[in-house]
Amino acid sequence: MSDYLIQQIINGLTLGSLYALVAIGFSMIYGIVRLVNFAHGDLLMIGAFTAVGLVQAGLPWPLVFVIVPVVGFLAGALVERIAFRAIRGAPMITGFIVTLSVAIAIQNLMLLFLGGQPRNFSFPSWFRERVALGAVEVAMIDLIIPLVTLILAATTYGFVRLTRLGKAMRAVSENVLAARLMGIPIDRAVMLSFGIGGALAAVAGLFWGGRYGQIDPLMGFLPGLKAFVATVIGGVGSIPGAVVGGYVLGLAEILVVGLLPSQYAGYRDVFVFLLLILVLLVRPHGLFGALEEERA
Amino acid sequence: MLSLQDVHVRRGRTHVLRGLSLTVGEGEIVTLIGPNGAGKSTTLMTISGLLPVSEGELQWEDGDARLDLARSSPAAIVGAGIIHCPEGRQVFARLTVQENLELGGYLVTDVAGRRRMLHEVYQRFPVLAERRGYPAGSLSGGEQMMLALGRALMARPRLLLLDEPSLGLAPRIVEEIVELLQALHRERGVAILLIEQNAMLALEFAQRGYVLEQGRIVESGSAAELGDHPRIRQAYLGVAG
Repeated sequence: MSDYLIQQIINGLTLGSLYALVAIGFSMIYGIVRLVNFAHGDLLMIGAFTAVGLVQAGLPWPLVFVIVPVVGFLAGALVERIAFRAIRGAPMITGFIVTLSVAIAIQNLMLLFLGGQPRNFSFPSWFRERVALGAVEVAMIDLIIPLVTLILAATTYGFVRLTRLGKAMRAVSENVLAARLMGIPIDRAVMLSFGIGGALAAVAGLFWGGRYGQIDPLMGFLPGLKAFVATVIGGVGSIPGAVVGGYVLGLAEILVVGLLPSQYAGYRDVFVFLLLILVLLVRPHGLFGALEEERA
Repeated sequence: MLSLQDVHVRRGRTHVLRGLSLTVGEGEIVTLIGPNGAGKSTTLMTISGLLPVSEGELQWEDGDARLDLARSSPAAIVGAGIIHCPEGRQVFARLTVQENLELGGYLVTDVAGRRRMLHEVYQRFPVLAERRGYPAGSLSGGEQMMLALGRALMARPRLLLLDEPSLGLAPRIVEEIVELLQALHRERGVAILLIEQNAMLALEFAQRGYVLEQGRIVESGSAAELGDHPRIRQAYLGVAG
């Protein structure tokens, strides 16, 4: 394999990791309240801006890595409390409108207070150092991002599968009435899933800024949409599905850009959404999704 | 133990319960029969705190513990030992049998007690022990009913609210369920408030009964009295005169 191809695959895995981090939250939120949350991508942007602010304030990087997910968690939970709790159980179309409104509101508040000028963002230099991985050299950050992603995904999955609170969240996502009758606190379970989703998206935002060097208030929307695509490809409601969907999408996008003649590179999003249509034609419930009817 | 006094409940624009009063004593089996739409399920949902009460009193007394059910959250009501087995069983289909049972004991914080209870449930319902690792959705209707009962048992009920436990089950399975409930009542002293479309079955199983029509109690008495009442025989037992 040529070095060029290997580098492209690594780029794809990095981008896929970021999609996966956002997609997990997307999937959890849909799973628990059946809400397609178009504002979810904006938590990525909030994570990125939080990171820049903290770095400018002179905080050490390890602390930044701890605070960003905490801020993401609080932001996710807060958005749920303010905007989405009131419409819980409303028809899906109401959800669409409200999540889009929240997305636009968040973006414009950021534009209002921070301005539209893109800001530079850079990780410390050792993140960019190249390390030898067999015959090829890889930037440190391209190892860190997929590694951290997989650790966070596995932790989230383990939390949802094995802990008391995680099981309660799955119970709520399956049958709210029965969950209430067991005394499970529904509001807390829903808020928690928004919080976890927000924390993961904020970490993705931190990585996004560091990897691509620039951040702006509208940066979250397209990654949010693509994470939605990743979620659908993987099968909505499944955490492993969201991760696989993220990587499939990231790799496909980079390989389209990298391998096709350069004049097609500008059309990368065409191929992304074409892939979505193809997957849905062959497997309407995504790669890992279960038929909704099977839940009866 | 449980007493409802002149309870009114509205759902949307419909005035469903119109001054309903009933009591369930310690360790008693009471049934509520009545036509569709009379408000039977609404009564149970009101007791478990799922619906707001517009008027009336709902009191719970268990030893020294007292609870005003009209002003309590579903979680507090579950915590007091009033456990509602809803219509249609409502098991968590994609969770395993064991996870369903664990969630039944969600509010039981004492780990050793929870483990003991799980052990007891598996003894009472051996079929659940055999299938503990399978998703609940893969169980048959009768097994799902047992799971719903086992899940209720995990919360250490003092009063079980049962909504149509025989619905959609074969007569042989229903018999088995009734035997399990009787054992539960005998051995643990659990009180039961039962809604059942099969009024014959309900009056055989219960000690006392109420007839609910249009949100009000229209008859009450021992199960034997109700079973002999000409109007009830005609309306609910399908016996002429």
